[in-house]
Amino acid sequence: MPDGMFTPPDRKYTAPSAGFGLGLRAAHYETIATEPPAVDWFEILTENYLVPGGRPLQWLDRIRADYPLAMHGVSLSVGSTDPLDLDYLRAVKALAERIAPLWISDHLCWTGVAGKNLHDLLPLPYTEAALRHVVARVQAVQEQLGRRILLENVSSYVEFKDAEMTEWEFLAQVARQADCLILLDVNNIHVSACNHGFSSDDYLAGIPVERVQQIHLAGHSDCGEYIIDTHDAPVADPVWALYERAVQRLGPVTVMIERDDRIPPLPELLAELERARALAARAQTRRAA
Amino acid sequence: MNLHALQGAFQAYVLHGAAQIGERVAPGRLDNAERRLRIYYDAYRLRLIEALANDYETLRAALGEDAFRAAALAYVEANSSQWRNVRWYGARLPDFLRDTAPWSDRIWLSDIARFEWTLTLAFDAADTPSLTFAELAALPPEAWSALAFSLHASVHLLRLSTNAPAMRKAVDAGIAPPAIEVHDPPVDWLVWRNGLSVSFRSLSAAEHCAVAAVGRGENFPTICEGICAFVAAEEAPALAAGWLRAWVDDGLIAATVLR
Repeated sequence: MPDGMFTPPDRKYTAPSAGFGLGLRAAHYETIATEPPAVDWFEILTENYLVPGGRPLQWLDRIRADYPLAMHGVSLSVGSTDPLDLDYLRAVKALAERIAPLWISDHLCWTGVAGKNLHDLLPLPYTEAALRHVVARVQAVQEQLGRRILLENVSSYVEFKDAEMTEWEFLAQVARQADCLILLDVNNIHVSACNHGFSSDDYLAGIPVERVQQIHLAGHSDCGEYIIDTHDAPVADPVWALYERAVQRLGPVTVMIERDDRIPPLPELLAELERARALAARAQTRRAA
Repeated sequence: MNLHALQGAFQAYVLHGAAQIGERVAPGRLDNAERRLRIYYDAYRLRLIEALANDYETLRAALGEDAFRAAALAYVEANSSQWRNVRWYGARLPDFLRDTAPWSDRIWLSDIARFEWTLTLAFDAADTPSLTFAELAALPPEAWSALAFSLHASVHLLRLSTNAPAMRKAVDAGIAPPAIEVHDPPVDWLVWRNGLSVSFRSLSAAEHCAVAAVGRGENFPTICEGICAFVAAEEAPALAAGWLRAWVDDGLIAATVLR
């Protein structure tokens, strides 16, 4: 374990843990409303609710009455060289005013240029120039939204020759220089570590503890030669193990399980969430020892 | 290569397979950069085809899985997305099918697609309040000579040449859709959201004329005049009043009354 693994985190930037959450998915609306499950909070996909009206927003208001919600976006494109989309930011802000979320997150990536959207979370070159670009953009976004945002590390399948630093150094620098927070996706660390041959523990050790507001857990598909971040399967064992090590380092931190495809009945996800609770408790005990 | 050029080259690869970005990608420990880049190329197409499949279930059932995916892939290759929200990506599919061979040979494909896209528009249209019967009844009799209404934001009129609505009902019920029927002359349909549920029904020529007149903001006497083309003049006001009552009950009329 690197030095500092057991240093108590400084919580001056982050909110207290919101506990154990799940992604809010339409397939579960009815169950959540009729038999509210033992979930501390839900994470919504922001774009699903940036619509004029109708059923999605009605369900959102209904579930918000019972649970805290966090907003998780996929199209901020904070790393793009296109101008920031102020209409999008205004819509995000309006939704935030409607549901008073725990926080607003998106990804450390870009999704398109020249006015196009590839609807994917695309990797950045980890260069000083890209860092300066992203830091300025995050600051502008935070100014528009009037709050700190969380940025999530994405899984990636390629790295660029121009890289001047590791992904975790880039993420840490963005968080510190732009004064934003981190949504640490433990599955994405594992996926990218396997694809690019770096150590997940080195990644974890390089993350500024005091900036981590939330953790994501998700499943992936092992294609042999590489791993793809599919979010369509239960959390894999190596990711659970990495989560436990993350909690040892970070202390009690908000976590959620993200399932976007082949969505199972809610009880299956609740069972996975129980596993997260148990692992977090064990990690905390070890941390205290 | 600066960040802007790199992103442009990466995007050109994802959209068109342009090879230039390959020079900027690290070979990786397995020297399989090309195959790993390909993940982005394939995922782009799969993701958008999936989005279209969600919006166009009836079209998918009518075409069959392979033919649907071929049509969707052709649409993806011809239409990059300019939307933040993938929800809007399928907007041009009805026109694409109408205008592009070989799908343009089967006019019914575009018809089904247009119907299904309209359902998506009604599904999440703005939550404008609807006029209630109590509000309608409270209007003084003298107001009716200049009264006009507006339609709820979810209301759409469309003219269909196929039995797309019957096919959609079957798909929604999880049963095999009926065979495609081509209707000549075409039939007018009304699509709207009643509360939170998307509804659709066919319209007679007279009722279609009246709903369209409401949509244009015409006043009640003008609406009645319009339907005289279909019914005897003395029957028109009672008929229009009856429809208005039904439209109000069904949530078709927005709360705002224009005078």
